[in-house]
Amino acid sequence: MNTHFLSSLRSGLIMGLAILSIGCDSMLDQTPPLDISNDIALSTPSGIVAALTGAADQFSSGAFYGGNTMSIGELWSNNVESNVGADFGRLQILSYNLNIFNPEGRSMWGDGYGVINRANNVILALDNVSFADPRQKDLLRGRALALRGASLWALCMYFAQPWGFTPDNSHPGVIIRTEPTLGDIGTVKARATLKECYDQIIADLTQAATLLPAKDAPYMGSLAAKAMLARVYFHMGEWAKAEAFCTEVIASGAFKLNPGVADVVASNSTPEAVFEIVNTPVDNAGSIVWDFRQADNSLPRYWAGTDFVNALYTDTTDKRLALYVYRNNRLYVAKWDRIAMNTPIVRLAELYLTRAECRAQQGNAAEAIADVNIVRQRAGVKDLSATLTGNSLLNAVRRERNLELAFEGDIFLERKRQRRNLKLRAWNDAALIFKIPDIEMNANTLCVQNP
Amino acid sequence: MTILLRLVLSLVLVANVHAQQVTLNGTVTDREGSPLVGATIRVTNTRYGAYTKSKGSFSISMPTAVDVRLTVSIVGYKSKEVDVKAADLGEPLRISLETDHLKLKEAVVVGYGTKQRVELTGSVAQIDSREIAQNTYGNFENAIVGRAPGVQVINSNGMAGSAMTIRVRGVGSLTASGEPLYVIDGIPVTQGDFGGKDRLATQTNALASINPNDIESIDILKDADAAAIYGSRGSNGVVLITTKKGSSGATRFNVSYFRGQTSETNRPRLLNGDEFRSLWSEANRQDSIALSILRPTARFTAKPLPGGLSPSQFANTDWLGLTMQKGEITDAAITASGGTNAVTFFTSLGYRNESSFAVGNTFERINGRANVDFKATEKVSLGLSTNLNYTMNNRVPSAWAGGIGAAQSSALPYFPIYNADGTYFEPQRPWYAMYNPVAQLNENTFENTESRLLTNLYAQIALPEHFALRLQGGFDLLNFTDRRYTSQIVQSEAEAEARKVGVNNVILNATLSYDNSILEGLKLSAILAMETQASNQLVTGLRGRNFPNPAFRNPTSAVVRDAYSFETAFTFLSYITRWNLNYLDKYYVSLTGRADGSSRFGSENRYGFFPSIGAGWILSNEDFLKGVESISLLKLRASIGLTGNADGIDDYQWQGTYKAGADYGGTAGIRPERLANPLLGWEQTRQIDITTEAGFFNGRLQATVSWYHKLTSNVLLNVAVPASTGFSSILKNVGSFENTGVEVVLSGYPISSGEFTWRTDLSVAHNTNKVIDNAELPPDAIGGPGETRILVGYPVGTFFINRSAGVQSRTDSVVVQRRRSGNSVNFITDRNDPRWNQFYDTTIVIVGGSQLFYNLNGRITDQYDLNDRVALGNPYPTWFGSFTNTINWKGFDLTAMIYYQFGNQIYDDAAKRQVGNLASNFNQTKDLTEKRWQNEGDVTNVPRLSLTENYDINTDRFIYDGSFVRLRQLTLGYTVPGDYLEMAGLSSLRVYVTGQNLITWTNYPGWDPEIMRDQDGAQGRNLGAGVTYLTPPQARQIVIGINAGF
Repeated sequence: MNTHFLSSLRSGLIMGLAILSIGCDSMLDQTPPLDISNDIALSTPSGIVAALTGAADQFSSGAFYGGNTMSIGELWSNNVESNVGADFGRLQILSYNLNIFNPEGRSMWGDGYGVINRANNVILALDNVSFADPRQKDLLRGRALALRGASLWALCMYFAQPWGFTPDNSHPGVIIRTEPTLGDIGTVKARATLKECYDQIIADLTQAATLLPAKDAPYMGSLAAKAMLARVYFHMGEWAKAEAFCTEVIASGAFKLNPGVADVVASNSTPEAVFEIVNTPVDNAGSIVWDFRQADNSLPRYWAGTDFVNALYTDTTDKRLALYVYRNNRLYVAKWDRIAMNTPIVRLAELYLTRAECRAQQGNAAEAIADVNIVRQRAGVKDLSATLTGNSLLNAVRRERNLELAFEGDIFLERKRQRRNLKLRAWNDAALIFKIPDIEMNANTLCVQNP
Repeated sequence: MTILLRLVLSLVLVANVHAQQVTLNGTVTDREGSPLVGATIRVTNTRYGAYTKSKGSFSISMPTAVDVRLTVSIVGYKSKEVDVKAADLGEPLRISLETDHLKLKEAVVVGYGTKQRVELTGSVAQIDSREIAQNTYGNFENAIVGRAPGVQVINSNGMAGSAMTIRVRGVGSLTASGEPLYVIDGIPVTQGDFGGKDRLATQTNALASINPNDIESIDILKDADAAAIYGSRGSNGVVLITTKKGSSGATRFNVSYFRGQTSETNRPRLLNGDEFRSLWSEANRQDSIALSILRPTARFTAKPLPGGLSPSQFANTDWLGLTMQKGEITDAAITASGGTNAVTFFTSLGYRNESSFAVGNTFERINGRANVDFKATEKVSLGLSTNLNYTMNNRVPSAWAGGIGAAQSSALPYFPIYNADGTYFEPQRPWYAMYNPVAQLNENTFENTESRLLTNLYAQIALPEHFALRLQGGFDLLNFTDRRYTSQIVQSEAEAEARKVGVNNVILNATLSYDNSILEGLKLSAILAMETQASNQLVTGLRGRNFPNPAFRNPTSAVVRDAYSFETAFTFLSYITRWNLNYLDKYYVSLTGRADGSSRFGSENRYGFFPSIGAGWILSNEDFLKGVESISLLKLRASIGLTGNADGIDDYQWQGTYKAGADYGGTAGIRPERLANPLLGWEQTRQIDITTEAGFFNGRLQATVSWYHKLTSNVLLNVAVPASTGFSSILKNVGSFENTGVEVVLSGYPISSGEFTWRTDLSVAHNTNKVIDNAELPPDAIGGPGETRILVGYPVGTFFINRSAGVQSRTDSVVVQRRRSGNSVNFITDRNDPRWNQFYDTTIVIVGGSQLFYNLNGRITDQYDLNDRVALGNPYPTWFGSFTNTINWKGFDLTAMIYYQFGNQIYDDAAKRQVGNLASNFNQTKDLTEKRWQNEGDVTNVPRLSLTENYDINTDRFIYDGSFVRLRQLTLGYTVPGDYLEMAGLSSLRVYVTGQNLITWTNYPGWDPEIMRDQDGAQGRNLGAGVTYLTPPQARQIVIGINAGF
């Protein structure tokens, strides 16, 4: 090769490269115009706020706390009779023939873990972003932890056998995720025991309660987190702890029983609402309303079952009768009857009734009766006999609880807690929890299926 | 500076010597003495030259009388070099050329340059302008049908402006695009459908704006040796389109015009109103009989005819007749080409207007092109090619979207068109959402336009020492609009949408090439190139519904409006090299490599490298074969290489992102959209190709036999991740599949005398496709239309379906097998689950005419259970090809092309509703419904008519043999002899008549066996090549045309 050859090669290359110098590696970096990348999304305080809002959005979905975590359990209980038409998912639930494709199970699992992942992303990002006001950081962490804890609680309710199924609660709970999912590494994970799940729920809610202000609508404030803790301890039979949390919430004075029994569902954000999911006409992801709504002549899919109707009508002075409508030989439920109504998740009456049982369980009959009477007086029914003790007192408290909290998802938890049948199925019947759905089982080799 | 100086000097010289010029005259003929028009005569090493005119004559003016060497060439003949002494320059020359059947020296476009056919070490199919001209369909893809062995071209349907699918050597992907890369004059162009996706059950074709008349050649790179030059985008094959260029000489004009009719290849025979009502009664009667057998005490209630009509309203409406018509095509083009020694040009203006067999469906195209090449100096050439196109496509619904689809299904034949008061008839709902197809066609509009500017600038600079540098920039600007209006006569609320898509695609390229003998007998030609591409797309639109006055048609005037936009972009940065070595014209080696970086590849997988090596050995140039007269060519070649499929990856898919819209409590929120996969990359294909080419008796008999194996791995699949992660799947490169095949092409010239030539071509391609790894996804994870799936060990798009066991002939007690868990259909996904095989035998009464199934054990069952599905069939042909005969006699030419394909199956997804299933409320196909079970003892596979039994289920009863043989093209032309033309001032004149899709031989009982179900997604198109759902048929065209040159 002579020098001409080389110089020619060189000049050709230089000319070509000069023209193409605009083509450099950086042109390969293209950012999506419609979306934002993970790093950018969570790199600023406002970005983290938006991500947390996204977590709450999924928490409020109709398949999760916005509806199904309450209404699916009702379907299994004696409180409800229903005609679900050709709804494949609900038909499976009613016929105790659940499979891994059940759409309600799939969406509850998907939404629940969606909230958990979104909350985990927020929690991780908080460590990497500085805030002008550090209290803002605590607020966001508290909100995220409360969402995570409450989500794990609902998942345990529907996908795991209840507390006490095994003496040491070493039976499978659900999968605990405390790290955000950032890639497809480490995605396969086994179910924790129910004990471990409860530990996690308690840890999350306890920490949230220390970080949050007393009230934080439309999120859970520290009092709402404590109300959730009361639920958890109550379910575990830890009467003293549950009572203490109830007392804390009641004594705070932040919430008051509404004067009317229907007030809590008749308008949004009443004084009695400890935690409500906020719906707006434009953002109404779905709610329990669609199972019960009977206004505008729509025929609801659910109505009150015979046992419940009999219990309700024992005292016809009960103002709570106004929450029901008799039509077509059926007693329809008018609790959930406003489009875009807020969905009360915890209200003060529950805390009085929880505390009443805790006190009764600990032998404090007088104070238990006093708590129940607070609720009864509002309903316009006469006080409990002051002489009630033991099982008759417990039965009276539980009966009141069912009348007060009916169709709010409480009965499902209560029956399992009390180890009593739901319809003809025993409290620990495998047909009363969902199968772990295919969307988990197909890719998670460590996850064991419910029997 | 020196260049400029030389330019000036040469101009001066030319001016000076003008007075002393000499003229070289002569004629060029073939071996028999017939004149050859259009042959090029170049004076070697000068810029002088000419073309032969009528009678084959030429004349070249030269400045001085010196010894010259002439190179004479014309397509189809062997080039010849003729030496002329200076003293003989005045004498008329007579040059005769030998027919070149082998075309070894012909240029083949290979991407970033050309090669002579003889040099090829890879598989390239070439379609020339004469073959392209025989296609009368509006797009160039149809010109490929039957002309490129191993390349399957599928028309989605015969509607004007509809989409095309091309599969080069088998389907090239599972979930990502399986379409080839299209490159026009070096620019990878925007392709695909921008037509609002699924709304009308048809797709559009952005490439339909290219006028086939402007194309000089289509070269299809089929194997890795050829396609590796396009690296990460070569796996599905590359279609290189080269447009026509001018050449120096007098300006030549060409006018071409054709006009004709288009119609459907076939029209299904359906029931008329009276027949439908009579069958409805029969169905009620059969149901009553069945009930009396199964539940003797039950009372039977007959089901009323759907639609709630009173008997006085009953009609016999031929809905298909009302929605179909004879379409018309007009296609005209005028071209001018020519040039001087310094400037050459080709310009064209084209117009096409066609209506199809579907009432209201039209396609109109106007296009102009100017290709100009300018020799700026001895060393520098510049060129500009510009193509401006405008198309307008009035689209109509079909298949499930209505129109002719409704006319053959939900528009029942006893429905009238109009009510007594003259308004459109609509049957009572709710039972089925039939929109009166006539009302739909009359009242709704759906119009797409595409305006496109394809332009391309280059500079070619000759450098010393046999180097050359070519710089090229190209723009492909596409502007697509979509206007839709649905009248409130057809649906409760009027709806309108206006949508606009803009795609800007820019390419820059620099290629340094070297071409020389580097050692005695060893020639090297090499390129080194760099290329960038950036493409972005912006979609904006406005939807509106509910108008204050029906005369408003623009969404802006609607009461409820909804605006939206969408944006996406991608870039490529590529480094390309190719080294071709030729030793003694016997041994050829080609090394190709391309490194592609793309914004679509993950941050940790930014560049892919795609090498190939090919080698060719011309045995016929070896001494031991030199003496064998009968063997004119014997060549062996083999290659191996890697290519990729990057066009299948949607933009930004590797990035983990958040999406807006997760609002809560009145606050705007965001949600994670997908998991990041920084390793995401191209699908990779390793292809081996081994080919023998042979020519005998001076090329009068030629044979090419290729064997190939394509192993595609790193296939993109959405792999499930546990839902407890908060995600459902992640896009990963995990799957694999293979295509193996053989291609045989036999060409012969049984007769080749002066006045009579007969050429015959037979091509046979065999391909088998098999999925190797689908990431263990359950069968229903990747589905296509009509129950097509991706299952390991089976071809892509195999049908996963229940087996029909026919129809019970007589009412009888029968032992059937049932599955214990059979009541929970689709419960068990794992076939190793012991519950799979829990069957029990039971004896039950089965009413004559009931349908039966086979379960997994192959035993007869009365239960339809999705767990009993098995993989059956193949949507792609195992054998396909063409048989073409061309006869020239005196001025006449006759071409007949038969296209065939065998071994594929078609799943008719609508047949379950149209073959003896009145309960679907669809009209029925007459011939197959006649085979229904009617009386005890009948033996058939079409069950008794019923309005209560569910026949609307997928079984192999509706899988049909999709093989067909089709007279795809028949052309008869006459070229008027030169003597008459000169009087008319013409240089050439040909008249012809062409018919396309004239006759079809098939056992397929549906509309048309050439099928592609309405799918806008790549996955649906990969899987659904053999599926139809009321899909319109192909178009038959008959046109008369004229071509005149002057």
